[in-house]
Amino acid sequence: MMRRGFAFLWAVAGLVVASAALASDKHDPAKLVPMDREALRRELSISQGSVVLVNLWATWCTPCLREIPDLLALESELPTNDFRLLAISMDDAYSAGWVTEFKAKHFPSLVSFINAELDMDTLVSVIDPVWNETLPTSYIFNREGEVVKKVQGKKPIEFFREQLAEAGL
Amino acid sequence: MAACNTMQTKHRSAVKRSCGRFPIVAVAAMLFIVGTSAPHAAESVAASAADRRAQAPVVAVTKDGTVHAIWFDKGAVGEADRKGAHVDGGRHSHQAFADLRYARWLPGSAGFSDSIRINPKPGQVWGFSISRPVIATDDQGRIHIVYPGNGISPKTGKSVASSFYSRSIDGGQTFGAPIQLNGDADEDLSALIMGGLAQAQVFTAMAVSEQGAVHTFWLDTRGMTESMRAALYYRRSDDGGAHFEDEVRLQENDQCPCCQVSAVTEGPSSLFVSARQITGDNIRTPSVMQSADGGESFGAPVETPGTPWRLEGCPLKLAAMATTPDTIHSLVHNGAEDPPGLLYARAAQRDMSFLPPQKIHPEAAVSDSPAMASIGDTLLAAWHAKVDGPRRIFYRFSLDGGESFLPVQTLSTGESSVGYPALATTPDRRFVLAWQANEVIQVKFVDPPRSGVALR
Repeated sequence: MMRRGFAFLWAVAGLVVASAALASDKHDPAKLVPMDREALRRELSISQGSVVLVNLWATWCTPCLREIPDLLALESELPTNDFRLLAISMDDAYSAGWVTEFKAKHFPSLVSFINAELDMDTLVSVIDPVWNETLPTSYIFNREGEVVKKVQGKKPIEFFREQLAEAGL
Repeated sequence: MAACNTMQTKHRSAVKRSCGRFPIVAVAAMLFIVGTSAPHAAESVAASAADRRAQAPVVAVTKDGTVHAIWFDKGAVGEADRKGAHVDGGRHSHQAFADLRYARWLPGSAGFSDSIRINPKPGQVWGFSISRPVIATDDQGRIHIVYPGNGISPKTGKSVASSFYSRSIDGGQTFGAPIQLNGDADEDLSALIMGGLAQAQVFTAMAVSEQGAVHTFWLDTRGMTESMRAALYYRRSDDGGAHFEDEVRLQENDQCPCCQVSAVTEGPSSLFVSARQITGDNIRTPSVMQSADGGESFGAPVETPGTPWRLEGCPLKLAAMATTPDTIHSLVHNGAEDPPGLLYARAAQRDMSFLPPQKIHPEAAVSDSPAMASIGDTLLAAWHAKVDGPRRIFYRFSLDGGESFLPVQTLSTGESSVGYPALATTPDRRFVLAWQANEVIQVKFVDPPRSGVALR
């Protein structure tokens, strides 16, 4: 009985840890979550241990929109406890309403945040202080939380597979 | 004492103290400063209201010295999610339902007038920091404006973004009803462009000669295929904007569709337009085209030098241009440089052969958003960049037509998030600098130094 109780507690603890590590999956894909600098740091911190692909996109960036299906395909083919797609819309946070509608129509399964800072650079500086405000931009983090690859421009899915493999997946 | 007053700028209290106790030292210090190169500049004034969200300022000056400023107004601070209900049926998602605001700063007055809206109905402007409007003036005192606007195509019934022109012939008191510069497209490219736009005919540029010839350009998705390349269109008015010639397809679909276009005139008939071609394997190549006959014909695009920048994406990078006698100057961001930043290059207008480029701000970790203006052989470049900390605005003078530049100077802007500088010149040979501080538009005068130690 005692052993069964410990097993239950371990299971609960494991669920708590797993849910924290997979915070993105807790976000409802139907919602667009505002993200400021602190939120970005927090999301990156709790994602350590997984390989993370941060993708910066916007509704006004057609190459970004053409890239997202590939990123979603990667997300579905990779183990959820080992890989996280952290998408951030660079659209104006004041436009979150219609960006949400747009995302729901075109990419309903995409879990995405939306920049809540005054400008794009303020948020992205958390990751890349010398970002040149070009979209799409993606950053690949290894399990230690280090940026191991910066990717600018739309790339084929095979390119991302190779880069993620090099990052430890 | 008059000399002391002229020095009351950034270090006002210190100078006052010096004037009271050590006047000779103060005068000597002032002469030293003026004689060595530091330009003096008045404090900045706000053009937009503090409770509004303003972006993408541009400025121009009429011969009477009035400073004219326009910018995108994105709504009140805290006001969310404009729906664009004014655009009949329009809910496109490359969306920006902004207004275009105008204000003027009359000579001798303390600051800008209250602003007025240029677009007839609220929210008709497709406004982002990276799709700037343009304002220019001519010798008749007319004020010319182009801007990107929202609309519904009468041919497809779908949401489109188009280029609009408006002018004032009464010194900025009123503006005429905007006219659409681009023709309507037959094609519905919604599936190709995505984001909800069926066509995009924007990133509008304009140059106006002193005589009042108005030259407008824009990037146009008509004819765009899977390769995602835009065409460059041109439309001209020879009577100060009263009437426009038919549009001309200046370049076929070989242009970066989400880059920006710029234009500048030199005298009555020389005209330059800069855009970014897509060459080779998605190389985003800045180039300049010249017309020597007032826009009747254009020469082939000439590439400005720099490392080839391969990118299937949205660079959103403007090439700033200016002219000095016989010379064309270009300042453009290159993402393939390490670190990415602005490259300056110049060419003789007679042969358009650009000299090797130089980094305008070698110490910057990243530099972008260039602006340039000239008075005679004096050239001023401004941009935003990061060195060790947050983004700041920097500027740099050349007193010899771009042969050499004085050291980089930092615009003192406090703790604000600043960027997107714009430049104009006044009839009394001053420069006007506008920029975005947080989301308020600031404007100030910057005077060129009389001399200085140049860095080559």
